[in-house]
Amino acid sequence: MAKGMFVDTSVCIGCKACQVACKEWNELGEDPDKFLYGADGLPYKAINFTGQSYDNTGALSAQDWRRVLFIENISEDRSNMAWYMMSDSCKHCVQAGCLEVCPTHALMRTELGNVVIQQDVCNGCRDCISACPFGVISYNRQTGRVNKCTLCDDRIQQGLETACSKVCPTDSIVYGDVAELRDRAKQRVATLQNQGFQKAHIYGDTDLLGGLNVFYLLLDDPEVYGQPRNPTLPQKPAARSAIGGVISALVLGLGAIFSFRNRRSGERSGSTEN
Amino acid sequence: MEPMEQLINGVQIPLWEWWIVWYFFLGGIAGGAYFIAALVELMGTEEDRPIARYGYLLAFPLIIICLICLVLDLGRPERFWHMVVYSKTWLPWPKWNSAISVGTYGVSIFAFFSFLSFVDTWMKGRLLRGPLCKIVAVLGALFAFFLGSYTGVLLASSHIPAWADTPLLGALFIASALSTGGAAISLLLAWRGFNVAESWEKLKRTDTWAMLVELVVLVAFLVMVSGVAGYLFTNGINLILLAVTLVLGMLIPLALQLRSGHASPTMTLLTSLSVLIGGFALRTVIVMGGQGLI
Repeated sequence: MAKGMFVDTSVCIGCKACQVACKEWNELGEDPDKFLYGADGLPYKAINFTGQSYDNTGALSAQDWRRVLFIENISEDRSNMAWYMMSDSCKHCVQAGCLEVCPTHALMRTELGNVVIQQDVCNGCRDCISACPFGVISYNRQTGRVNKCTLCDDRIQQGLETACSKVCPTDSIVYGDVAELRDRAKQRVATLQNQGFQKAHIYGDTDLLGGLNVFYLLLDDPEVYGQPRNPTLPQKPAARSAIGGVISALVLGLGAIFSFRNRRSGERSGSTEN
Repeated sequence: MEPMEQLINGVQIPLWEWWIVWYFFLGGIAGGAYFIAALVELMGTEEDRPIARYGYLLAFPLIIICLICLVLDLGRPERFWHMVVYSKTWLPWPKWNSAISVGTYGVSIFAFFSFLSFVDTWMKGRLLRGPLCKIVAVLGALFAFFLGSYTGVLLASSHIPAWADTPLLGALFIASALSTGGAAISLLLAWRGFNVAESWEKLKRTDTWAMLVELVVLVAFLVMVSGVAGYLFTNGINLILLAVTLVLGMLIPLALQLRSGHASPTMTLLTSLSVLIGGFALRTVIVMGGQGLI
């Protein structure tokens, strides 16, 4: 049975305990681009100010597998304001673009449904990076490979829950069987809608990429949280481009052949006249 | 230092830089040159043979340089073989829905055919005799066209707006492959003093046709992506590169080629160089500009 996480953004308080737990458990270092280093090679000053509220990562990266977004959603006439928080990570899609395009089979799905990168297989071609519609996978210049959340594969294979869900103080992140989590999420959406949160909805039900194993309860449109409304597999544009390439090849090839053939028949007729 | 995680529309960029630009450019020339050489092999006259000779002699060394570029671009170059063999079983494991996997096998097969044609040309036709020569030419030409267009398909297999939101990249790259391949052969022929007017005419017509198709596809591509990839048009360097692609790569060579009469060797040299510069500018603006790296 597929394992996953239900992230209820309506109860996230932005404490970033999940970010810290992720860093600690996965032994993720600092992002070298976000620190100044002294002569001893150790970081002495953080320069990771994003200018966006309390967000200190700005994006998911090879060292930041989890990111807490702080979204100040103010209406145009400034009569309404909402401050949304959301703990974002890899969604472990059922139809995962990254896994589809990986030429080395480094990206694989485990029997628990999570998508992991086999670091001993990845050769750093980086095709998976832009194949992910959520901007999850990042290149790690230090190792020459790519990284992302593994759904704490080493923990869940031992029957433990993920590090982020373990520490979440409000149960905004809940780990479990995806089917059970979806039922729980639907009940929560119904409760919120009864309370007046009309836009409350599940982001990542089976309608998106076959279902996101890490899915969300959002209080507003996906775009407000920086998520694509209709994420797709990268094979779709690739197939269109391949058809364009074949048509172009036919036009070019026939044109070139016609030039040569035409010329030869002209030569033949010329020689006959002579 | 630039941050590693750069985003376009919430999608991270793969950070494909100059090795990939050179690979796309030289791979295009190799594919285009081989296709023209094979066409001469199959349909040309004895006077046209130098065109085929130079096409074959160009294609194989260029594809070797391309393979080196591809390996050097990897984060772990020593694991280049993971592209064709699954490292845990040591068995080939092609993946048909992965553009890079399909491309790796396609480029390898093209490298094989171009090697055969290269050696045969070097040995003055003593390797491939009778129908074998034609069979290699036909199969090699098919894979040459594959090489020319799959690079565009590879870029489209993503969520980068300038690459994925148009079906024209494969079409654009293959047209550019034929025009730059023809220009590279012309450059060598002019340099070596080749002067058979009828053969020049054939090559010129093929090249002109390729540039016309390329021009139409490029204009359609720019119109198509203008709405979704505005960042391509707000950057001065991108605009210069696009202007170089259009003017040096297509408009000037087309104007010169469509003039009546035989061009002087110097003019042919300059025209060919102009097409090649345009082809390189095209790959640069698509690959680097598409990722917002310039």
